[in-house]
Amino acid sequence: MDAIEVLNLSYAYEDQKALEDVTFSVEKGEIVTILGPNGAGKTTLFLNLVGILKGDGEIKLFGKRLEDYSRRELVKTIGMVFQNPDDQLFMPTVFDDVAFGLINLGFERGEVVERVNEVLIKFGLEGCRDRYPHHLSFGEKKKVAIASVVCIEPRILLLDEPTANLDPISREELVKIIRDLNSDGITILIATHDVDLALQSDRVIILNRRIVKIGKPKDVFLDLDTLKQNGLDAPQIVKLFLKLGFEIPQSLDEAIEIIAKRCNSFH
Amino acid sequence: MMHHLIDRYYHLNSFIHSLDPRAKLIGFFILILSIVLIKDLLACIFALVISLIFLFLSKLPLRFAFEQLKYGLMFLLALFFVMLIFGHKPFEMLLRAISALILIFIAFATSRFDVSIKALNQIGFPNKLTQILMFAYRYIFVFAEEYERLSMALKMKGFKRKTSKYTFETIAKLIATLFIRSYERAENVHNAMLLRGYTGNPSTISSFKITAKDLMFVTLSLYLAISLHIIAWML
Repeated sequence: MDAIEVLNLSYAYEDQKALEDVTFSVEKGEIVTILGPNGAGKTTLFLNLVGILKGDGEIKLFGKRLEDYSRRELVKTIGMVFQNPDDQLFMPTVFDDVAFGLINLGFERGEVVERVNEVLIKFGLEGCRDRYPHHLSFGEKKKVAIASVVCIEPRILLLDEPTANLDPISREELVKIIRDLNSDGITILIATHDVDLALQSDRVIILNRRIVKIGKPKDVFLDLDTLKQNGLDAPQIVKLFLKLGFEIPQSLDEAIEIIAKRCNSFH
Repeated sequence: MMHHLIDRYYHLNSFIHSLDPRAKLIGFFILILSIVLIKDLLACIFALVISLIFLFLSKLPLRFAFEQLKYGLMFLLALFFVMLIFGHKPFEMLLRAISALILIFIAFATSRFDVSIKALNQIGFPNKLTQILMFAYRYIFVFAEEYERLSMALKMKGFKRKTSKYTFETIAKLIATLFIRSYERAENVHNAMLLRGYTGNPSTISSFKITAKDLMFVTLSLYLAISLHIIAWML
């Protein structure tokens, strides 16, 4: 079953076209990455998917038209994490921020406390419970921003540039969180410039106001001309393996496996 | 970046710190209300003494208290000089205002600011007002950091503050940039709130507990508030 279906979606800011005739679908349980240069319409697409912007065309979530969802149903179905965590963390403490959505959805006090504590432990943030957001590091803020949406348990999660401005360790932690959330059954759509992150997803969509290409990461990253025409580049590991004439890996483990196989074949 | 404002010493261990924030606010509000209504000079001096005793009981460092109160005191002094020329009973006004200022300071400096806002909400302050306070407290630091970054960028480009038209124009442009960014941020924050089901209702939970000590404090405040007026009446 498709978690997201987008049919001929177009959107313009006054006379500036942001999205033109965008059509794609995301299967339930998939991780799909939307790649595109700055101004490609990635955030606009996300804001349309969550019903904040209303473009021309049709959007369906789990087979139901977006217009037919009540705000409450929509909040429980799809969540979005913004690029800048300072836009997402508006309450005075981490606890208040993570609890915000649950309180709005009418959860009982005990359940709110329990779910917030669970999510904070899951994200390794239990020590930050009563801290002010302005006392957190950027990486911690990013994690809290995701936790504040995940605690509502949406079925679809949209992540806008989740790895932007993160140090390598925070980035790795975040990638692990994304994988864990996906293995919990959450369908994930990521808008990013991070081609290494895209390499680890199930499918990649290149968006440049229109859909340019959709496919498996390996197929998309082999099309170097299309990437270049759209201001993108293939991951370094893909370029290296292409030069070596090896099969393209999807992760570091897979790369090691391919190299080991090749080494063994030389012996 | 670590920023602290009025609640830098919320963690101290004093009688005032240990009070339930709601009882603390109610007790101090009763006292403040009583103080602003007295007109007698001696009663005003007595009110100031009460405020200073509470400041002493709170164990807040005096230097910190002065730092936090200095702008308010400067404003009151300016008002006092105006009142000296045009006003009626300027000394009484000054003493009343300083006493009230000290009590408000103690009420908010002895609890975490977010806890004080929640307490305000629970004792019946309008929801919109407490939400504005919450957002102000959250984003004042983001705003300050952005201002620092932009100031740093100006310095790196060789900008030096002088008393010149160019300096004023540059600072005005910097402030305009901050306003535009804040406007854009406000839109994003509003969207983020809607996406988490915001409907305009209070969205916080708190675990306050009133004890005998808190009731005693409110009673004491009430007693002092009435005493001030009895003193004024007797004189």
